[in-house]
Amino acid sequence: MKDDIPIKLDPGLVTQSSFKDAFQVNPESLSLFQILGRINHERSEQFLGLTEEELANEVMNEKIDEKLRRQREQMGDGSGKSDKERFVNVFEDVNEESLANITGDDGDQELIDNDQELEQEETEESLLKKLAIEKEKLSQFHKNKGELLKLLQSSLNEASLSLDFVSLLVTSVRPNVGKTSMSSHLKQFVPLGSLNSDRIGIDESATHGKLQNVEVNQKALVSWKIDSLTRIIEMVNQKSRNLVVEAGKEKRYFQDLHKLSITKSLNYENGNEKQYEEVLFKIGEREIGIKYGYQDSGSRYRLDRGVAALEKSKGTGELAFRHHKAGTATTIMNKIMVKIFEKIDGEFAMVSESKVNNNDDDDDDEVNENMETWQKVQWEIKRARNLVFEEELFYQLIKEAKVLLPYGAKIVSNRKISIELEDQLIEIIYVTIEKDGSENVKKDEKDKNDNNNDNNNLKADYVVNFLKLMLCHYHKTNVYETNNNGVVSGNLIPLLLRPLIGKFNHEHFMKRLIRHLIDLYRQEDVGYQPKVIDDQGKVIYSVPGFVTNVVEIKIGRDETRHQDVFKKVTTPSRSIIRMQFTGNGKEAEKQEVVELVVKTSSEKSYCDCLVNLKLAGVLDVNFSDVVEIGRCLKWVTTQYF
Amino acid sequence: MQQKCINYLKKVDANTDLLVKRFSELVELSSSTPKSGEDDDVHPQKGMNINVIATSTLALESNASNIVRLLEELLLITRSMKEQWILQRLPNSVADLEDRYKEQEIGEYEQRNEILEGMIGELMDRITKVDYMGSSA
Repeated sequence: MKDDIPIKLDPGLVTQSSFKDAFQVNPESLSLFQILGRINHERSEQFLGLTEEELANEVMNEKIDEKLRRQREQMGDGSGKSDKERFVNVFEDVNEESLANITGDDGDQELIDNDQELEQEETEESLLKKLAIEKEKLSQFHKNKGELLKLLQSSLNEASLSLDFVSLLVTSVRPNVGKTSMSSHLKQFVPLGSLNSDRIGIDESATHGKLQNVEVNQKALVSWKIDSLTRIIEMVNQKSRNLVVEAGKEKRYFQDLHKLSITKSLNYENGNEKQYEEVLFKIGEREIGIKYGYQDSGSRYRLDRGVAALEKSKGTGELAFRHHKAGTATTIMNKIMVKIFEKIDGEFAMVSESKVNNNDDDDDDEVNENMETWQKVQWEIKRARNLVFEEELFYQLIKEAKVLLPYGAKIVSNRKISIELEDQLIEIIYVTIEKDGSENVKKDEKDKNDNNNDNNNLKADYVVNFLKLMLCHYHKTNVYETNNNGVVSGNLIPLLLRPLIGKFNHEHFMKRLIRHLIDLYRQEDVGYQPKVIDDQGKVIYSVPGFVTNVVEIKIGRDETRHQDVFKKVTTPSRSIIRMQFTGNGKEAEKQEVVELVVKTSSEKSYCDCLVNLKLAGVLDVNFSDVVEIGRCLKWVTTQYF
Repeated sequence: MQQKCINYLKKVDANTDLLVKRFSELVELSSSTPKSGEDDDVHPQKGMNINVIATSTLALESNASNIVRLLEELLLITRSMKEQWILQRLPNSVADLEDRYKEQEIGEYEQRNEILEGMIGELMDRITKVDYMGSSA
């Protein structure tokens, strides 16, 4: 029964065997050769210089290392316990103590407990200290690790560079071997086998005392050196001369550029000088550009951005202005020209033509030979600026003319717009002028032009100036918009022609209306005689002899003042006609007034006309036809007066 | 700006330093006798060896071209300094404009505005003037 059979369990079988590293071999089971090989591999040195002392030292060191490691492990265990855990332990201790107090254990026990507690506290403090030290060590370790990584990276980089170098060197002997380890960059830019090497050794012949030969050799070698030195001298001389020239050019260029940048261009405005500076910026690495366009002042013209390069001319280093119209810039100038035709005997005849030459104040300073380079450049910039302005003006005019087709505007060609208004025809032409003064205007037209009176002659110039001012205003509103809203409202149609056409239409409508009114009241059955007073208070029509039964037709203008200069012209025209009836036996106080307000149909439209007829308390009607107004007025007059 | 100045100075310093180094090397290499103290007694003719001479002449020439390149770089530095100067002294246009109008010209500006207003109105009137009693219908 009691056959106890002891079974021994080898712990190695359970625990170690499963973790056993197949490659880890017990060092004691190795043969001598294997051990020797391993030692050789580990120590990477021969047994030759080995001494007993060294070995002893090494063993000592190893032991110390081991000790240290163990200590660290222990510390690691201590620090491995989390703070919370430790505090829980302390708490439990205290609890036990208090429990012991309550149950009334003897004092000895208490004392022992206290001692234990003290000990515990001490270890607690030391543990915390150790923890702090450990943390410091860890951060130090991370820092060092980072540095090491950096160094490794740079060494890797250098290694790959040197690998490149060596592979290139190898390609001269064995192209295919070198090619595999070469970087693709090197492969692309350097031909294979272009690097070669030779051993700089001690010349056997020289060392073996062939003195005669050596002497001859020496002389030759010295001459080599002298030769190379003279070559160097020549090269340095040449380069120095080049550099001096280059420096001179640079100096000249920058002097010009400096003058250009500090000299404020003058603009005359009501006799006051307005100063502005050129906008310079860098193009790429080596060039300096200039912005002469109007983008910064609100232009949204995108076909010519008004950018040019200020480059250094190759020969002399002078400043040169270069923009994309460089080829034509020196000879040709584009301008807007306006011609006004009036209908005389059913045919249009030109009555006014704007000047295209010397109507700008800047034309007096033509380029001449006495001018300095920077002045010439300045002049060219100015001209380019004018050019881009005219170009944009015409572009915007075409854009606007497209929407004005119902009001008589016509785009005749891509260089000509015509606008037909009642008895007038305005042509806006984009002309090209050769710089020598000849323009493509027919001579006979010019002669005819000269015969006309001065007032009409200037009218076309007025139109040009007006359009230019309106473009400036357009730019200004754009700037205002972008500054205040930060958004650019897309394809805005510029407001250039519309105020002008609107005003034309308005005036002509007024004319028709007034004439119709006069005709109306001159008819005898109405019973009133007209008297027309214009906005200056001047009587422009009256029938002499009549003092009673007179209808006073007063023309008034909407003269509200605006903060904005251009508001006056950009708000649609509005006129008020007041008709006052006097006499005809009615009591003098009862002066009924009929008001006719001539305006456009809305704030946004310019070119149509609408009449609002108002009789206080009785009528408030809108008309758009003159004849209808007449009919209504006649009825009103006979009915109420 | 400060940083840029420092960079420029550093670059000038580095380049002049290199210039001096290259030039002293050049002078050293151009001597036809071996450097004293360096050669061992076994090979008294080492300095005059054909290979040594060949490499040293090559080194000479590369040094010379190096010197030239350094000088060119110095020129480039002056150029970029000039560029910087010209481009940076331009005013901040908006602030400039504000100052201008704030300080002195508000009154003048308004006055000008008034004149302009009158003028543009007149311009338009002149263009569009129609004689109400005129003959043509």
